[in-house]
Amino acid sequence: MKRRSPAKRVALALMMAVTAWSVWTWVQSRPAAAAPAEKAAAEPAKGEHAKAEGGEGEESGPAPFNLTKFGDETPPFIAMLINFGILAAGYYFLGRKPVAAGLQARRDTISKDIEEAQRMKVEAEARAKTYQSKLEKLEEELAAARESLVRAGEAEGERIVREAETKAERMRKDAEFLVQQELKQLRGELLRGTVDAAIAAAEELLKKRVTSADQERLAEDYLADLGGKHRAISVEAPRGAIGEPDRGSAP
Amino acid sequence: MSLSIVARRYARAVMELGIELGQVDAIVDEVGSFAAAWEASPELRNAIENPLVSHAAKKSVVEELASRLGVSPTTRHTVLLLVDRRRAKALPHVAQALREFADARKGLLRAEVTTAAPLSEVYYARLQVQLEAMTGKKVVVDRRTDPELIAGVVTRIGDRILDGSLRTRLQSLRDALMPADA
Repeated sequence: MKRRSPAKRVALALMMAVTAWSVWTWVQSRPAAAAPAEKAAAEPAKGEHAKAEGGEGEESGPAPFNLTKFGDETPPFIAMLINFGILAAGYYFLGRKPVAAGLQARRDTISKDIEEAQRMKVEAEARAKTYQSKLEKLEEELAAARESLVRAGEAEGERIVREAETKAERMRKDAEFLVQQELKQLRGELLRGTVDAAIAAAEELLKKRVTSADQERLAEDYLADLGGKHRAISVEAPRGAIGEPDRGSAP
Repeated sequence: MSLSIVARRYARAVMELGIELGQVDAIVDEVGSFAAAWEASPELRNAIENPLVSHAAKKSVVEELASRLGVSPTTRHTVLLLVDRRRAKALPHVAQALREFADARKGLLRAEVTTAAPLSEVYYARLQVQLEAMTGKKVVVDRRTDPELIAGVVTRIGDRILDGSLRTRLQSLRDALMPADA
């Protein structure tokens, strides 16, 4: 707990004493203040009676102003002034620093809030400027984007056309190649059929027209061919012949 | 396994047996006779190869054929062995291999001469001389005729073929006329 200085203690004690005294004084003065009212309520009959009896009575009016007299029914006005002065001094000495500190903190907070508000305002203004500039450039950007899209579309279209042309060219070449192959195959088959037919016809004709003289002439040609070329034939002995190694054995 | 390889192994075994018994030529001829009968008779092939025919019946057929051909017990047992082991189909190959082995043993070369029509004996003799001159060995000529040759001669010695037939010339002409990719 924070320890207070002696002056503050004294001041606090005085404030408490003054407050207590004020309360005591107020309590003491309360019956005296209420008494005239009760007295006034009880005395109308008595007053009327006295009036009726002699016409004598006391004149009722405001109480006299008590400036400095102590011990009277009403407290002196000077005591109220002193009391007020002590309370004011106490409040001044005791509340000066906390109030100042609080006010300072409040001022700082408000300053920070103002600075934050300023900053936010500046940022908002900057954003507003940016958006404004963007809005101003929006048409240009839209136009640029539209133009870019158009260019891209045109390029894509050209690419698709090129690819289609390339594919068509490739298909045309493939078709030409297939046609060439078919033609080649057909030519080959036709030639083969023609040759086969010619050879078959020649064979049939030869079979019919070959005579024994032709047989002998061809045989003589064969013999002359064998002798004229002097070909030497080396014939190996059959595999597995007796006296030669053979792979495996008889099953 | 190839039928010819199996046949050569059987033939080698039979050849050794024939040499041992001194009956090479007889066995070669007898097995050749069996092979000729096998190739000439579809009924015989069907009887031996048909799985519905009992094994005893097959053996009795072989025994009957062997007694009719008058073959030696070695040849009969050889054919029965082939039947037992379901290798009867190899009989012609065995006969051919046996003949090749026998010829090689004697230092002979067998030349299979095929003509479109029979030729004169003089021609075959001249051809034999020519072949012996070319091979440097004694040549035995086996004659065959094949009208499909049209004309000319085809000689087969071992793995070599000397083709002078008109059919082959026509085939060469056909190949020459054909385009390369046809």
